[in-house]
Amino acid sequence: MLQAINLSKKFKTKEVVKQVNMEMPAGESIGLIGPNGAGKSTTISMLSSLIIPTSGEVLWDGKSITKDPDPLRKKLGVVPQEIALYPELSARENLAFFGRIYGLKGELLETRITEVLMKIGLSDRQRDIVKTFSGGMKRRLNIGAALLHRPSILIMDEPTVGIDPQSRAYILETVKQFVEEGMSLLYTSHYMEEVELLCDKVYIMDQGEIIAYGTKEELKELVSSNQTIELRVNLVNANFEKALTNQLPTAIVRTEEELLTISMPKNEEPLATIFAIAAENNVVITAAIVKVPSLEDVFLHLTGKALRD
Amino acid sequence: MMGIWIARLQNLKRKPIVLIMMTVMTLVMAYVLGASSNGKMSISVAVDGSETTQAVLERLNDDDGYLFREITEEELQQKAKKDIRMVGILLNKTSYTVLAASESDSVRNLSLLIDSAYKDISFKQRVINVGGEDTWTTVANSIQDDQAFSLQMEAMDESEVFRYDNALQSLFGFMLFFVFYTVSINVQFILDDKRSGVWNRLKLASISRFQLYFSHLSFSYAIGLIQMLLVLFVFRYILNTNMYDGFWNVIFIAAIYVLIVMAFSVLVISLVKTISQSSVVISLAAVAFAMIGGAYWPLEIVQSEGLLAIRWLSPVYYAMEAMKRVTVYEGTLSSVWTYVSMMVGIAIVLLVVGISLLEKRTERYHSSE
Repeated sequence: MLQAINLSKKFKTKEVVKQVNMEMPAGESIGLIGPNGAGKSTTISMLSSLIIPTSGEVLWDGKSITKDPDPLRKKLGVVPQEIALYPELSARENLAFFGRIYGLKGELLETRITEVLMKIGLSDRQRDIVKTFSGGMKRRLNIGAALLHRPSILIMDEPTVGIDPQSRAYILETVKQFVEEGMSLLYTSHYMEEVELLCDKVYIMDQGEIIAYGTKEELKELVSSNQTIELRVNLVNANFEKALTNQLPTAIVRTEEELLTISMPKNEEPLATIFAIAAENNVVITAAIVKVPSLEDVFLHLTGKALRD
Repeated sequence: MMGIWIARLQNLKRKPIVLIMMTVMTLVMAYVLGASSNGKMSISVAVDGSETTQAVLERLNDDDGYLFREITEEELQQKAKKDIRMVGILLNKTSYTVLAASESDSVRNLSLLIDSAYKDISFKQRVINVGGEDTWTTVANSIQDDQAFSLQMEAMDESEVFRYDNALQSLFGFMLFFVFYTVSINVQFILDDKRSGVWNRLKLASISRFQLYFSHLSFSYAIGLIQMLLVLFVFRYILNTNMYDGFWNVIFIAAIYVLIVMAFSVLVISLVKTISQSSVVISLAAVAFAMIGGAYWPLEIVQSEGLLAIRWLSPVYYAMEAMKRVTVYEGTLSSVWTYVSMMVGIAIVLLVVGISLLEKRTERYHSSE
């Protein structure tokens, strides 16, 4: 089991991670979500032994990794947010490079490369130079490079950033398979639906702190007393938004182009009021949906902002 | 280490253009510019027509470093007024005048050579006056036969006189200049690996920082050295360039020079954020170091005191001087230990500072999420 105990990290005077406690039991898949600058990547870097915490401990099977990170590193695969590959080399050459770094050689190395290429679906492009690959293919190879030494624990830092929906679906399917095979997973993403699909437990992070954690159901319970209303309007009007906030003081209102999201207690019946305010402000509502709570709503409820803000 | 070397070689195989270009440029530039002159410094000379001055001129013409062109005294004066770069001499029976716009090492060396010629002629004249021609022949033969005496005299002369070999000046100059780019571009791989995240992946595979730096730097070093060896071997064994029996000493100095260039490149990448910034700094530094270090022209002809004062800042200066000393001046390795030890010392300091700064920057990458 990988554990973070009161983990903090300061860069000069700025404390980017504050007293984080996390647990990652064997075979479980954990999601870590938070907006940009929340401290996710720094937390991951500390958990994976890349940087030393200012205070606190990371324990692997009960032993601190600060002094001896090797036992963890042997079992750990990390998929970074960046495409950490050599663009001038072929897919196979890249995998061979990372395999050699992990001490694999000869027939074993060749077998592992073939196995990984199959998993990530790049067998037919293995001889092609990486710089000619699409974004999705590079992302898949980026994952493959972390699998050569057969890690039992995989940390993925936003592995689907900037790729097409088809590649994203392929990657999610592949990762889901890893989880089903019993690999422990720590997954960070901006896409809440990815975390909902892959993870059993979720940690929500904001401004360097874990503000909530639990199973998806437990977290959704936090907003079970809430309702989310999505309004599609033809022209967003600043007065309309202001009037909504004034007349519905318990509501959190967020605007994204023509979509207005209102989060508020379930016991209120706001639709009539909302339509009245819209009419007063000459705003035409083209669609209105009352939604079932999602992790996105949990995040909105806890932080007052959307995950991708 | 092998893994990193293999990956770097594969990268080089896919993008060999920089190495090829730098090597070819060195060969072409050194060959073209080195062959454009016979390697001698041209000096205008006017003589008074006496026997002594003719003898002095003959003696001066024996020196390989200069080409003396005889003109009239009037022409010499005119030329001196018009051309501030001109160095001329006026030889009289008992004295001589060196005409130059400013006093420099080259002028001082020329004066030493003329002094020496006058002394030789005067000595010969005195021997003839006392004992006649036969006695002089005996003395001259005895000086020639006495190897120890003869060698000692030569050594004293060689070290004092400014000597110039245009072929070697061009070869060393361009070789030191172009290898700067080759080594720096290779060292930039560290920055590239850090920014792309490959560096972190390697650290997670339990590769120590020492192994990481050593693998990358040793590869960059090897490529730089191979380029220099290639150039030197082509000039020595294919173009038959005279290296004055100092060929292996030059290779030793080249090996030390690559070390200091590598260390400087590490410092540069530790101070910049991107590869393009690093390339700009390296380009500026390479040209500046070559200029003030005497790669483009011999420093002996430089008259600016300011430029001469800052030559110590340039790694090219140490290598250039050391290479010239062990070839043109026919010196031994022990005569260039100052330059060599300066290069090694500076390289160590730059490496330590550069790697420390790079490590601090690695922390900053993590803070910039």
